[in-house]
Amino acid sequence: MKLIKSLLTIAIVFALTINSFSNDKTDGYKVGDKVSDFTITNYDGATYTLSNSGAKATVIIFMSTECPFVQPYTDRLLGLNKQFGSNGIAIWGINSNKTEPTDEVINHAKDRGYTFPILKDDNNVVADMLGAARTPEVFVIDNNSMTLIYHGRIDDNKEADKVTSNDLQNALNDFIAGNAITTNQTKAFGCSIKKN
Amino acid sequence: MKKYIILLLILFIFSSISQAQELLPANKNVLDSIKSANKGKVILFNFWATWCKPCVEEFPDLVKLNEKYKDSTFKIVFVSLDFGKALGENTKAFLKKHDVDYTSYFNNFAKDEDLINYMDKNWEGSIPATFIFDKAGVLKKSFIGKQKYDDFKKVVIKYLK
Repeated sequence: MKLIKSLLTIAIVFALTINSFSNDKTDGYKVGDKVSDFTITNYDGATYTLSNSGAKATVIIFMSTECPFVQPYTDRLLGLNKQFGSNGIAIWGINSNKTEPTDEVINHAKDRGYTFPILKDDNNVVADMLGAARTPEVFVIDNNSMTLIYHGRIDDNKEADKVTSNDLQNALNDFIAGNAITTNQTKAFGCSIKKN
Repeated sequence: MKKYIILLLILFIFSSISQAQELLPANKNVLDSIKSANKGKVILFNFWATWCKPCVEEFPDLVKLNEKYKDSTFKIVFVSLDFGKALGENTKAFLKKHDVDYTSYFNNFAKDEDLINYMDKNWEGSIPATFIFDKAGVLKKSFIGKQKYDDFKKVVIKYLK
């Protein structure tokens, strides 16, 4: 009886332990969830740790060198970095596509003139952790609370002259103003991330 | 007179071919009409694009599936997410190459999010994506990402019964 009680206690403790570990979700996060920290050691040897981004909020954008839904956003992303970079917002582009090798990612970033870092997410570790499925796909994390405060698209149209809703820009403006983000979850088409 | 008749015949054949391989805009009204017109059938909607490698890779399996079950209560609806120049040239050429000689569609929703949520509120918007509705028009299966013929077939057969 004593043995059964002990085993039961161990089982309960084990179950509770697994629960707390599973805060490191493998099926993605909802807005409001606490996000696990991560570190990427990039191809240039620099390390990028989410909790250490030095920003009030970190904007993670899953990118691709080939996806036709990503390419039209170059100027808009450069504009966002210019607008918010000096306001305590860090933008990180992340490439998790197994079909896009590091050299291609480096050359593409150079061609596009990205002014923010593009990180290579080998074995799609960060993509899986955040639940990213497509490119482009945006996750904004409040670095103070490490919570996801915005998830979704950059804006509502890949063609810049047809945009009616600048969703990411609006979210960042709300955040900087100290306001709750009005629209914190949006959707758009994108290319599936080619994962290992 | 003979030449005139031959010319008319050629024009008629050409117009029939063009009409058969129609690529039409799809908005909510169009998709509602498709569902309504095909009540009593299992409907498979596939979202794809010519530049989407996994979409292109699974496409022949879907065409094969249609060939196998088209005479029964099954309807396949291809909706291309091609845009710009690709839509006019590449999309039609691709459909022709794969012998899609029936009407298919391209996204004409004013907002992408409306189309995404129309098909499945759990769909985050990546393609390829395939949605299978049963004979009552209820969404029964969402496939996100490339699938194999047998994956599609298994679900279609289940709801054809």
